[in-house]
Amino acid sequence: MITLTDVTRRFGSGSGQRVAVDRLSMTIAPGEVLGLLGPNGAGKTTTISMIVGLLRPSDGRITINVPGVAGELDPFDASAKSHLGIATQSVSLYDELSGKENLRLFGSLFSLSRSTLAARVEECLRLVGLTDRADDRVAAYSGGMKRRLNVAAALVHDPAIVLLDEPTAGVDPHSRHALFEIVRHLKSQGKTVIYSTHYMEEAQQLCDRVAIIDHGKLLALGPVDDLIRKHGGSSIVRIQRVNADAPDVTVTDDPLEALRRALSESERANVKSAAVQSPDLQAVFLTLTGRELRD
Amino acid sequence: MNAILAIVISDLRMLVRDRSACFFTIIFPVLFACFFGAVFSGGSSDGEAPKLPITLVDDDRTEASALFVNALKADTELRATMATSVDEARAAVLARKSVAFIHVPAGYQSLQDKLFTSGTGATVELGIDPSRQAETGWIQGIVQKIAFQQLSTTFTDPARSKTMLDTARASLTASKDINPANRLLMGTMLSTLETLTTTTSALNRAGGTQPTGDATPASGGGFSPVNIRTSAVKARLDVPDNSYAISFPQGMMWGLMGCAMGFAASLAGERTRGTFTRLCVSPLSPRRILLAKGLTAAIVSIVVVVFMLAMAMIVFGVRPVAPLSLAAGGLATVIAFTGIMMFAATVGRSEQAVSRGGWAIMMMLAMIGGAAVPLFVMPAFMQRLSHISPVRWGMLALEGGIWRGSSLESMLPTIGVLCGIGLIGGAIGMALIGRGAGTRA
Ligand SMILES: Nc1ncnc2c1ncn2[C@@H]1O[C@H](COP(=O)(O)OP(=O)(O)O)[C@@H](O)[C@H]1O
Ligand SMILES: [Mg+2]
Repeated sequence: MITLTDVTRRFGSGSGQRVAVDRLSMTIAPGEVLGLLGPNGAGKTTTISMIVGLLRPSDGRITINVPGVAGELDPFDASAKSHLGIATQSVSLYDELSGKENLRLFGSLFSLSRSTLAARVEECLRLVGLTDRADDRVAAYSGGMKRRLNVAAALVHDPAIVLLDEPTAGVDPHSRHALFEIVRHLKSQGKTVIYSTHYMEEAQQLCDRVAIIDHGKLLALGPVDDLIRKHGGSSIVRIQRVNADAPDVTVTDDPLEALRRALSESERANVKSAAVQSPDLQAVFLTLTGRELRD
Repeated sequence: MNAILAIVISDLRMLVRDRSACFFTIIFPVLFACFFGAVFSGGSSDGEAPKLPITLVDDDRTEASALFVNALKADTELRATMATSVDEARAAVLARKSVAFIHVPAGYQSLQDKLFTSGTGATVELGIDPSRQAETGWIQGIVQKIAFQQLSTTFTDPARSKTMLDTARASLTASKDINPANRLLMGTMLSTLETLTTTTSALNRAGGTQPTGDATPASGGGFSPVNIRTSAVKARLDVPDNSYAISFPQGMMWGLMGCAMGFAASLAGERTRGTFTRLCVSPLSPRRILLAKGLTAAIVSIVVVVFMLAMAMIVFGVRPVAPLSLAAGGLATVIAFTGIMMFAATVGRSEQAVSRGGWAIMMMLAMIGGAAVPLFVMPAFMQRLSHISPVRWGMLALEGGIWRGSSLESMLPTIGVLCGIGLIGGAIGMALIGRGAGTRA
């Protein structure tokens, strides 16, 4: 279990100070896949950095409980590190080393026996589908392959908690699908997964619960269905008019009425297209922030 | 420990695979050393045997001393220059302009004149570095040869030989403690010699031939016409005979700089590219990781220095004169540049910043520190300026062991400065990395 209590992180000082994470409180249960959903700059990476003990919170507290380990761990404890695995947002691998050498290096930072390490390296390579490219230099990998290896590097020491920071950013469909499968596999193994993304479909497909974050604040937290029921209430009507760049967006509980108005006798000639969208996470975000969640 | 080892091994592996890093840490330094070694060796190796440069001081300023000094000057194995005082001559040896000096003290002629009664001639001083045993023997031989030549010449000069014999007879008469039998014997001998010299000079004047003067100690049984007292001149700042002994320490220094800058740039790059962060999400603290990087840099530095030393010795015949000082000084230099690496890696914001800015500063420090133009040929103000450059201290340490022959004690200040640089650089690096510079997912 991971507990965040009023976690705040500020950067800079004086007038240039900015609050990246603002009094964030939540509890992440063992074995769950939690989505951190928010636009760029929402504070997802900062939150993840604090959970893995790379950044200290300016205020508040983070504690980690691992099944089978007595007591609460601070993310900065050396003993907490072996339970945490992170795939950073930017691919962080050694280009001059092969895929296998990268994994062996990262794995050997944790005190694994030689044989365990070798077995883990092989298993992780297989999991991310890179076994036959294991001895090639990473420099020769495609973007998607690097992404997958980046995730494998988070798993090599078999941590109970895995944090994936926008793992699908800029990835080909094949690798994207492979990454989804990896997350499902981790869940089936009982790992706790924290998955940050700004793609709603990913959150919707993969996550047990989703935390919606904007400007460092937690706006809503819950299972996707609950969030939609609670905040997605209204439907969205988009009317694209002939001379407009972007469609008019109306959030309404009565989409038929909105359509009728838009397509009335006098207006009809102006309308190029009209669409109605039933509530989803996009709608939830729109309701909560008044903005659309876009790339 | 396994983790540290894993980092070190991976870094070494990456270094070997990185062509430009290899170039700056080993290929360029070796090329530098070979090229400048060859340039400065400038042809002295071919043809005639080199003459020994020596400095002469004549404090007697008599006919006899002039004769002796001129003979030394004329000797084909020596290249003699005159000095006006012993201090000046000693300075020439200290500066290695001369291998040795020969001092003819005041009273030389009068002592030589008493040669036959005292049984021993004047004493000249040979000032030379005690480590130059071969040269000492060689010069002593030359001096003895000349002294015997002089002795035979003396007998061809009636005026000089008459003075000598008169002096001898006078002292013979004056001395009370010679038994009568001996006194008689010596008196007879002196008379015979007198007759002999007068005759030969008369003959020479008639025939115009000079005795060849190839007189060697005619089974002289310990008799020597001149005594040689050697005095030790410890050449502190000496200039090596082998130009590769100059260029290889410089090459090593370039290797150390290349290594420090290469590792600093790659570590700064790791901080921006995120691999350093990845290392930090392990039980290792950022400081331990920085230490591991420092350890790798130190290992590579030592390998470079040892490799270049082996090459200098095996290929170019460089003989380090003070191996212990070299080991200590070399290690201190490695420590200094490892500290510089740790400093530059954490202060520099990016790989580019370190490799451009860092090298620009390094180049300047290298120029004033003697890695390009050797320290000992620099003008005085440059030598003073060079104190601010870590490169200078490194050069002193390496040169101290390779050709300056610095003793371990005399090198302690240099070693202290180098270790200080290393510790301060390392400490700043540790402080900055500990504050979380660049550690963010
Ligand atoms: N090291 C830093 N220094 C200053 N500002 C930062 C730093 N890291 C993040 N920020 C700021 O904090 C906010 C949140 O950033 P981040 O956590 O990266 O968002 P996300 O990952 O959701 O895109 C942004 O406004 C960002 O500019
Ligand atoms: Mg981010």
